[in-house]
Amino acid sequence: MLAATALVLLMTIPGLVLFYSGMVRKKNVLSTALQSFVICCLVTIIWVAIGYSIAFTPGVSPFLGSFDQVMLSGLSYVKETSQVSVSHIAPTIPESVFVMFQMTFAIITPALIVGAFAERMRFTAMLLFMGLWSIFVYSPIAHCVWEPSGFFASKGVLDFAGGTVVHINAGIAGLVCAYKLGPRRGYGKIPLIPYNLIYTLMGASFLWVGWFGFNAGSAVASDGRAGMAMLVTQTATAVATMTWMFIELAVKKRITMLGCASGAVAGLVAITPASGFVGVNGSIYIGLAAGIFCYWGATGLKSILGADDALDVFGIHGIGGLVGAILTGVFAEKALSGLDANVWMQTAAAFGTLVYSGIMTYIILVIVNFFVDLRVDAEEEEDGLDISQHSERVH
Amino acid sequence: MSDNEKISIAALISVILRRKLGRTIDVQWLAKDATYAREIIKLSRAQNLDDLTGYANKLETLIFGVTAAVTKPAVEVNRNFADTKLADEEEEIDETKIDVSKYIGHLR
Repeated sequence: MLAATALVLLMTIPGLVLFYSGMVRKKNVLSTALQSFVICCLVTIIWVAIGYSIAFTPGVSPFLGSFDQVMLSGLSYVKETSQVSVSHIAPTIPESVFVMFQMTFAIITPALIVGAFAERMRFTAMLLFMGLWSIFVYSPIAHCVWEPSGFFASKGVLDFAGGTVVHINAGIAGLVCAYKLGPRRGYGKIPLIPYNLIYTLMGASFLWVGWFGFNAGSAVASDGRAGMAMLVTQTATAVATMTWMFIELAVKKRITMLGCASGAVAGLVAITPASGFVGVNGSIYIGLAAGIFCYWGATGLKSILGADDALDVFGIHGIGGLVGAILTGVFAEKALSGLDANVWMQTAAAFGTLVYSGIMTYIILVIVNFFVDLRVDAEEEEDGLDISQHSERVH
Repeated sequence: MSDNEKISIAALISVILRRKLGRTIDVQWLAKDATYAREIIKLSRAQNLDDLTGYANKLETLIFGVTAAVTKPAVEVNRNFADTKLADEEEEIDETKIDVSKYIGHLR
């Protein structure tokens, strides 16, 4: 679990940092990288202070945990008596490890949203937004889906590693941010050229490797189920990448590096909720669906929605999360987990999360905008966020 | 010629002018307005940068439909030394062949 935890953290720093930084323009590279890096620090503090307690303690309501473990109250290790506290959700590992493991999920989820409002959000507004979003959106949804007394968990909804909690949640939040902040200057009129796509491929590769900690680690044991989760993660990702590649070849007569990296992330996202519940055959179908639907999400659907979701957070994470969550209900095998899946409950939970996260994200943005302008002014945007927000440049 | 192609070349000129001179230009206006384009093309050629002059020539052809007179380089190239260039330098990418218009309104 220690290794899995480190792997999931590796997904954000440096995985997501590189993945996103390569896709923005040169004048916004440092700012984009820094946003994910600082979110890592901010959410760590929030998680220890209150996030973990809201998410992973049984509460009086199925939508919210209690405040019994604020500041990780009750977490202990006594060397002399070899006593260690454990969580009721993961009784085979020390609670300190479970807190850390779940913290890395709490970190990467808001960091994913950064891609949607890239190149135009004021840094201080971003910090305030992410702090509130982590407390009022991430933690309650994690409670509903993963805490056994949570609203969706108690109804048998399956989400092995966070298709709903992480990806649908971040995807819809990103889309709402993109609408609320408005498009970047010149969007749809001039080419917004990525800085360095090799950073993006390196980032995607870190994400891929780190995802084994994300999915296999979610078994909270080094057992057969963890092994299956690892195997299906690999197959779904490979199939999604190849699917995206061939669609691109058919539609655009070119295979692009960015397309292949995007296909890989789409496959990783879609297999996430299913990884502890499906076999290899199921993972191949999920990978295939992820390649098709996420390609559409980042191209056709993007045009229909009309929002400047700069790095296609909704197109890949939102759509990939929905595909994975629903298909978990179709392909889950009882032999692997001992649990039955219900495709209608899966769908209800996915869209319930979509609605809650969307509305709450909008409310938080309105509140933050009351205190700090969400968006930098036109001149600052033209100069680039690296200079206007941080007085630095990439080189 | 398509507007996208003009905007693509204008964007490349804009990047170099900003990088080399710290000067910001209006990419959209450059692709649309002949007077503004003439001034920017003249400014670009005055920098004596091979790549910038190349883009200026290309933009002139796209907008005015004429082939630009190539200005004499500031420094005469000694062919004897030119042959000693490293292979990597000879394989420099021709950026005009990159279709940057695909990044208008889309990333993927």
